[in-house]
Amino acid sequence: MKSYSMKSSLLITIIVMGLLSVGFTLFTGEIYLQQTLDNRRQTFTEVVELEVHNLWDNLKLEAKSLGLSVQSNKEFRTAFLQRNKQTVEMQLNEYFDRAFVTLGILNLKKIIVYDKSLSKVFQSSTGDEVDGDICSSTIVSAKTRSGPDRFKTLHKVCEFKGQIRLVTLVPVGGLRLKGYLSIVVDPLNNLSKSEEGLGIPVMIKNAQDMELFRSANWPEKDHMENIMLVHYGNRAGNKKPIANFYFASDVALLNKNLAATRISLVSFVIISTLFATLVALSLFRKTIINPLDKINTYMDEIRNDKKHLREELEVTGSKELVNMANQLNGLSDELSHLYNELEEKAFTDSLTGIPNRALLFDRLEQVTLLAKRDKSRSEFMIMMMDLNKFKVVNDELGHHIGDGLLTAVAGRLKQALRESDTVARIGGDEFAIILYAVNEKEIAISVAEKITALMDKNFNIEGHEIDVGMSIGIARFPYDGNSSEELMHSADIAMYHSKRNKLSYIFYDGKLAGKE
Amino acid sequence: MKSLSASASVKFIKLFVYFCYFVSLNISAAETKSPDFIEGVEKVSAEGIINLIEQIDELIIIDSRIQGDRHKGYLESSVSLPDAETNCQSLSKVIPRYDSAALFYCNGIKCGRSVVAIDIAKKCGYTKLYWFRGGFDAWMKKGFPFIKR
Repeated sequence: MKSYSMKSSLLITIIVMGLLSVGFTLFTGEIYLQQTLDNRRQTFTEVVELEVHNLWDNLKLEAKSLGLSVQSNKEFRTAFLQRNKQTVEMQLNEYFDRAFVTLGILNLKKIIVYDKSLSKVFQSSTGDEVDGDICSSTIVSAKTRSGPDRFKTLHKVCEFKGQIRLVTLVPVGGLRLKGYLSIVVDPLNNLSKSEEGLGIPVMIKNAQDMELFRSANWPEKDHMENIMLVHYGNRAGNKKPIANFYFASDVALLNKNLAATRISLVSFVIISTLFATLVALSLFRKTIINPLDKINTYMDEIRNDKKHLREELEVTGSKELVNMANQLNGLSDELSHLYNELEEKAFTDSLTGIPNRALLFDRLEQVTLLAKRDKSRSEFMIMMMDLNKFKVVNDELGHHIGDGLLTAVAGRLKQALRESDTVARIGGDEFAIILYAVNEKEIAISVAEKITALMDKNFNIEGHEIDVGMSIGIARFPYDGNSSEELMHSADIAMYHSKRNKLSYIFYDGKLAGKE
Repeated sequence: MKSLSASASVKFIKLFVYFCYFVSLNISAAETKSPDFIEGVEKVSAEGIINLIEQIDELIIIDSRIQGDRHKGYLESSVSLPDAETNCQSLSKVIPRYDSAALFYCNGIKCGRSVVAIDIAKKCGYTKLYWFRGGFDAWMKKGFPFIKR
């Protein structure tokens, strides 16, 4: 599994959430848009319905009024009753020249005359070319009527050769039924006036989807994206309406407003996501990243230098990390304690409690380096010493007493020295002393004599009076050696000579080297 | 809030107008509505006239309205004789015999002219009188043909 930093996982989470909210906003926006458009469409459809109904009603009224006017015309009535074809046709044809027809109030297409039993008798020779009936269904339903109902006006809309026709059947004879008149009208002009009534372009199609009328300002095909098309047709049963109205409502402004709403919503979401990201990151940095960085730095420091173990780690931020830092502090305290103990053990002679060989060498090394760098503190001395009769004590009185003796010796050596000087047991019955910043032999001599005096007094170890002497060899830096090894070596040679010649102490001299 | 109170006040005004309308309707109806029936006279409906004509071909229809009302349209073959001009002499010119069938109508149920005319006709001794109480309003509403000049 790939590992991510906490920061990037947090960022990814926030970005995913942001994207999800943008998606959600777009989705709800789409629903809102559809709903708004649906509402608009519904409202618009109602308006359209009202307008179209109104136009049909007006047209029906006009047609009926024409029918009543024809049937009450005396010349027509007389000619009809006498079955005078020529006069009737002439009378009927005259109506095609009347003002309401020529002015387009009524687009008269045919007048057909029926007798009482609804058989066709005459028809105008002007208008649609037809042999039988126009809209025979009108006649069929008229035939089913009886009694006073036969006097009522019938309206039917139907198709004739692809065109829409309104057929109005009025009785001839106000009280005594003589026959019927069928007024056939083309309603297209009247219905197309809906474009004026509603103030928007209209297109009218027949049931076969054939275009019959189209407003001059009907939008072009390439400009339909901001157009809401509303269809309206008076449905008769399951059949497609004979007259289908399509209204093109311009929704550009609505779309623009909706788009603006959507953009502002999305920008709001994006801005709030960014803001949330900033807040989250700054909180995250404060409470997690910064303390973690601090903890990491602290751990690095500890690893590189154990001295830092004693420093306390102070962390502010999330509770968990503060707890963690406290735990770390506890651990580092314990670790520091352990280190100190370990260090002490590593550099202390376990028997006598004074520095051991390793610590002596370490200090010698340091003082050599310091002296080389700083000429003013360039001199120091080293003393190597060895008990004269230690082997005898060990052999005769046992190791236990030998160990006691060594401890006692170490104690006396410490008495002879300044706090700052180092005395170490470097093995067996061998001890060494570093005398810091000592350049005069006299000082070394006084120390050596002090030691000799201390060692000349008998030791009492568990009731055994023990007399051990000590041989001391002294080497001086830089005269007797330029490095810790050389110095030790020189001191060793001097000590060897002091022992062999039964002297208390002796300074190294180049001549001694050859006499080994 | 503003529109709410506005619509509330509009509602109140509407209610008030309706109330006034109904009150006035009741008062005027109580004052001018014609009687439900006239003794000795047969009441007919719009359909009833058409049926009556089939039975009595020589039915005489008398329009008791004034000329102004008649311009809005009238029943075919009706004779105009406003109630103010109705008397035994003018009636004798349009109704041939005392037992001839004669139907009277005016504008509608709120119109009292046909009632007045029938009363006069009754007094003049005509015996076969019919009253179309619904009048021209009812005729129009039924969608029956009429004549308009």
